Amino acid sequence: MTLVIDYPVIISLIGAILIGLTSGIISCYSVLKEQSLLGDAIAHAALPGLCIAFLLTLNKSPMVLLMGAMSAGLIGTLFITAIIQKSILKEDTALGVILSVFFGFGTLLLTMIQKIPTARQSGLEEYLFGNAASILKSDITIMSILAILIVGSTLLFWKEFKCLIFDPDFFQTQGFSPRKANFILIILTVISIIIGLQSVGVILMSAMIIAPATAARLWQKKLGAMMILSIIFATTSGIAGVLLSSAVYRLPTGPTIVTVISLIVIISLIFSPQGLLRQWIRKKINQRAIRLDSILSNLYTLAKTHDDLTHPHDINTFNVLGEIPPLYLLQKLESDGFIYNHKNNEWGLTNVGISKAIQVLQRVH
Amino acid sequence: MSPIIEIILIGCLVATTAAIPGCFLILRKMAMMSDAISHSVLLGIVLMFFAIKTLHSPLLIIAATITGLVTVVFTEALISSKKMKKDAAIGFIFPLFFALAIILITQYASNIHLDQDTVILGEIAFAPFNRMVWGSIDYGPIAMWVMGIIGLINALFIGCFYKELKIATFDPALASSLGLAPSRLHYGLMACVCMTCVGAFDSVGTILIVALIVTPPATAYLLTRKLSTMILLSIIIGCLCSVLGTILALAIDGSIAGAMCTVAGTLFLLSFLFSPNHGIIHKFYTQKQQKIQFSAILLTIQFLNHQGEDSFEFSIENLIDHMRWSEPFAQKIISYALAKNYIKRNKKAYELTPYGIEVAKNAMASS
Repeated sequence: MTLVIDYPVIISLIGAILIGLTSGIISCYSVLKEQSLLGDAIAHAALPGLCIAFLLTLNKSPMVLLMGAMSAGLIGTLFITAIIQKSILKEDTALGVILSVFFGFGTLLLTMIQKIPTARQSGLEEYLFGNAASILKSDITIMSILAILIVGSTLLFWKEFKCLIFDPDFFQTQGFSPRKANFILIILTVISIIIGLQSVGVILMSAMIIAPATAARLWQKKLGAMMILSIIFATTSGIAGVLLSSAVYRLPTGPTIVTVISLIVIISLIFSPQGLLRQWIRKKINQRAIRLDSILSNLYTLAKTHDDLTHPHDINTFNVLGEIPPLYLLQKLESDGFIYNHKNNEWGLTNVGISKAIQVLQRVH
Repeated sequence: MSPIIEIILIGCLVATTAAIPGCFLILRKMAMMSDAISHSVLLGIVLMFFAIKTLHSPLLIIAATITGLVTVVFTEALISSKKMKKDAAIGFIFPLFFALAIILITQYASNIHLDQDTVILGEIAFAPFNRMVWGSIDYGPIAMWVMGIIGLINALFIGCFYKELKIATFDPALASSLGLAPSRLHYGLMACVCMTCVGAFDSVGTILIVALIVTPPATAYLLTRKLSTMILLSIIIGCLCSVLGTILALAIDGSIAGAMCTVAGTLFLLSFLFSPNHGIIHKFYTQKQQKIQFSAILLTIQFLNHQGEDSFEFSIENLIDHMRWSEPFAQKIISYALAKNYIKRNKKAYELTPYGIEVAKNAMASS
């Protein structure tokens, strides 16, 4: 593993940063609008567009290919919308049909292109899994323009998009058209996917539309902060992917980027403030508190049959009322001064414990 | 058998095997789950391939099916943990599995029979070369046997639990109140999808199988509303894709799997447009018809309200002005009303027939 930062690597890195910036932004909108699988479909649908653009022009410049990919992505989206609106089929089926059929058609065209003698080196296959090394300086110019378009419209329509996502009804009452705004968002989504196709590839690009915001959302609930975090995550994984794949022989860029961003999601899933670890700890604490409370209330219920409420009982009698409490919980209550140990297995409430038990019972009933 | 017949036959088997669970998937709104499963089974195949160093072992199918089920379990766990929405959960797990599989392939398994292109395109064209030979007798291509067995398992599963699946699909609440264990049925179905994806991996590749799982049932759903008919139709459509796809691929010298998908997409588009009851052309036509009929009834009401007034009220000019209709539309409505005998000509203007009066009164009474 040798890492050489030379000119091509720097170009790829700039590409990765642009991808991180745009997919970080678009990811937030897609995930919050709960239509992130649309990105999957658009990315797959781009393949026949790439092929047709190549077949028509026999030109492999990314400018031409990406225009083709963009048109195919938009046509795919229009089909999906038409299927959902005009037929009984639901969103998932529409996505599945368009994704797989467009992609299948794309592979058919791809095999035909491979048979054209002059097209042998068209490099179209690189779009399947992405190869950041294939990005040239001229591509960076196009990518930058597209990225500025996305960043610009996000800043310009910040309030409008935010409102559209969180309260589409209010958005409409303010005199905006949700349909038009959605369409603009979809065009921006297509553009951001197009930017990533060269490095990440059509098959895995969907991960860049889903993962960054999914991870960011676990840390931040405010849209602005979430978006910045999402951009940071996406950019980090882009840079890591480019560096790793240029250092390790034959390591494909796209899958590497996706693996890194997935690791970020997994880490966020476990360790973020909303994460599983904290949720698990909180659950354990609550369970313990409930068990402690139930020991007190059970002791109180047993003691009520006696004149003296501090009357001790054998904890084995607890099996009538539920579980027999483990010793460590009893010792915890004892050290808190709620109960006392009469002898061996017999425990009774203290006066503090009695009032605590009454509180618990009042809270329950 | 000639190789081409064998290819078509394998294609039909793949399509049939895929269509059976596919119908239930799209009815249960889980079509994208097949996309997730078909991508992630690759990881199972690759890992098992490293363990046993051959692509021709039932162990591969088992390992891959387990990976597929792991994907389903993880995805559902993520959804129920409320940390992710359904779409994000489906779209998060499988790219990771797929990316890991691709990295493993490119790093450790290139030049062996497992490369990126086979993974995506599959090579059904080579399927007839891998033959099942027992003793000295040739029993046909291995792929045919594998798909045949998986198809049989799918058919048996759906056949045995047809009623239960039907209830669980259309009325999950009823299914669980009847004690049908919808979640066990669900995992059974998912196991069928996993096995189908794995079995088809060799022949049509890991992504194009999605086309065969989702598209023929979606096409059939546009044509019928009865579950059994839908399953049957989607099998027929799937086989049609195989036959026409192979012919198309041979004609233009392209990938057979890609051609099958293209045919599947074309058939879907045709039924989307022309389906007798649910196609958009039929819908468009009915809507137009309804609009004309409604407008004609409005016309009778308008005439009834102005009965006995100046004849100008009954002229086309007045309709254009009053009802805000365009002239061609007003002409169309007038001729429709004349044909239906709602109105008749009276010199320059029109007047209601007794039948027309009755229609207008009925319409006003019912509104």
